Amino acid sequence: MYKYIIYKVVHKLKKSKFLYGFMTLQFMVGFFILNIFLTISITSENDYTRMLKNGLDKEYGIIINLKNKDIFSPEKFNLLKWGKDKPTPNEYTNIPFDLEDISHIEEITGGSVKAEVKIFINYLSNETESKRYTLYYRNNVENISMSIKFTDISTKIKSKYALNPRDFPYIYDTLTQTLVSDITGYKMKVNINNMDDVEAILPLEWYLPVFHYKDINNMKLTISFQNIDNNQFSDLNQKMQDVKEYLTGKHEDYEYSIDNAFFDYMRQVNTLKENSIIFNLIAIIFFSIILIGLIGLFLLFMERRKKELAIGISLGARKIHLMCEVYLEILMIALSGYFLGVVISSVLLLKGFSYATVVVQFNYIISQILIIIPFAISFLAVLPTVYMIKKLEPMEILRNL
Amino acid sequence: MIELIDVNKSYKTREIKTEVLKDINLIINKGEFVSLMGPSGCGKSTLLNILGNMDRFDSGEYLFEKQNIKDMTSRQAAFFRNKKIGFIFQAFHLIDDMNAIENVQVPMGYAGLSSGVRKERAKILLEKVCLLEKSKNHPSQLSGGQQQRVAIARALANHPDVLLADEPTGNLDHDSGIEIMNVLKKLNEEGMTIIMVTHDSNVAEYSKRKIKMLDGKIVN
Repeated sequence: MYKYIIYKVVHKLKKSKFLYGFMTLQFMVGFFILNIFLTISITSENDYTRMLKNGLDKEYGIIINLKNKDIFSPEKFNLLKWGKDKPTPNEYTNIPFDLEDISHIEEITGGSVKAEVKIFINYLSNETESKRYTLYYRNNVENISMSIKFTDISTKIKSKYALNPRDFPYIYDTLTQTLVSDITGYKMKVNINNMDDVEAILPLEWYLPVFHYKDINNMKLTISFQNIDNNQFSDLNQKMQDVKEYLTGKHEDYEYSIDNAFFDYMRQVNTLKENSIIFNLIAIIFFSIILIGLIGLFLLFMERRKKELAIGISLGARKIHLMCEVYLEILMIALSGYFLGVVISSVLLLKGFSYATVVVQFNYIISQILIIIPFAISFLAVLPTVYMIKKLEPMEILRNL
Repeated sequence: MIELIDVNKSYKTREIKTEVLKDINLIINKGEFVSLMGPSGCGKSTLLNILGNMDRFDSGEYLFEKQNIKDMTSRQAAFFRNKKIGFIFQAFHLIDDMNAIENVQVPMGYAGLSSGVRKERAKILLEKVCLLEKSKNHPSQLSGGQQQRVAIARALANHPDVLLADEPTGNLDHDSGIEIMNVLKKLNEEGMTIIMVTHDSNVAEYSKRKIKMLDGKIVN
């Protein structure tokens, strides 16, 4: 029985080769466009996912500006005087963020927050009330006079590992090339490899026990979102704004702004996301146009074939056989269109091209996944015809012809 | 062979119920050549369709070789139409894009016969209706009488028990009509049961038994 159905379908395709040829052409164009746009869309989606992941792994800074310059006035903030004995100034206690803020920001954002302070390793220390200062290096200590200009002092500091033994009693570990310090009973390491010769960056919690407010302007707050879910990405901008508002509200002496890198990242990710949605939409629109066109064409075609279907039923065909016949017919056209369309579009994609921000290249998986489409499209296109066959009253049709 | 007991059939629209067949009781024996006669709209074609299991009836019983047709599933009904019944239509109803031999093969294809068997049997049947030389011709290349002969060959494809003919000469000229009736007569002489709908009394003369219908009832 099914052999005969296949025979009939092949016979039908041969007999109406012009009509079926044009339908195949329609499918071919459809699959060509579908493959191109799906590839662009998937590439864009992949770029988006990659950028999202890479971006979430990165750290975004909160840039801090001192609004109240008054705190650095000589009366309140005597750098040279300050830090001499106990590094706890009475003049000023409001730092841009503290450990409590960090926990709160982590709670708001769901990300991990890093608060650091940049310190200068080469330290100019006021030894006495006299106008003499001590310059500490790793291997030696040099006393200098205030009569020497500051630039001259700077030129003297050539050692990469000049130390400030009072603040952080470093020991240079030649093996790991890090400065190792022992503060209040625990060991810590400071990697100085990527820093300027005279700088080290310490986590806030290491810095705070020593409490040098002179470094207020060198504090840095960074947030990374690697632990958050991709779905929470859309809230990220709002979360950063919440952090900004929280800090601004709590520390009135400072202005907080979000690093441009964060906005650049958000913009790029959003562009890729939009591209992906647009290309998906275009692919879906094309898919729908082809589907609707085919359903219409096929219904029109079937309307003309009602007589043949009615004859089939009167000669002993079951409606299910006729449905199979019709489905097979459209499937063969769809598959031919698929092979032609995918082969031609793949030749174009194999060469590769750029579209918008996306570098589009042949995607083996998409071409394979597209094979589902002819089956699905045939199934959908044949549904109205199936309904028509189901409602078919063969004798009614044959009598009226 | 065929027994109809109190068969009723009506068509319902929203407002009107039209009774097409009323209490039809009929027995047709094997080898009979029966003609159903009557004016247009008397229900003879509907009766023929019910006999061919192409239409449903509202009440009553239809027994074909003691089997109740009403209880058949759609699969059994298709098998019945394919194997037990051969249909001949007034307008021939051949498939236009198939040639004569391909048209004759259609019921055999639905019966699941192999290509070789189909071709061989189709040739024999076309020879029987004297159309073997036209086997490659499409319906548009055949005269009305030739098309009806192809339709007869197609109706005989699966060796049915009964031939149902609905106005088989209605679309034919006089000579072709006689030609077709002679073919049917010959088939009946070979043992084929034939039930034919006609309003032409000359055509009805070929049958052995005439059943007259009026307003959905058998009147003789």
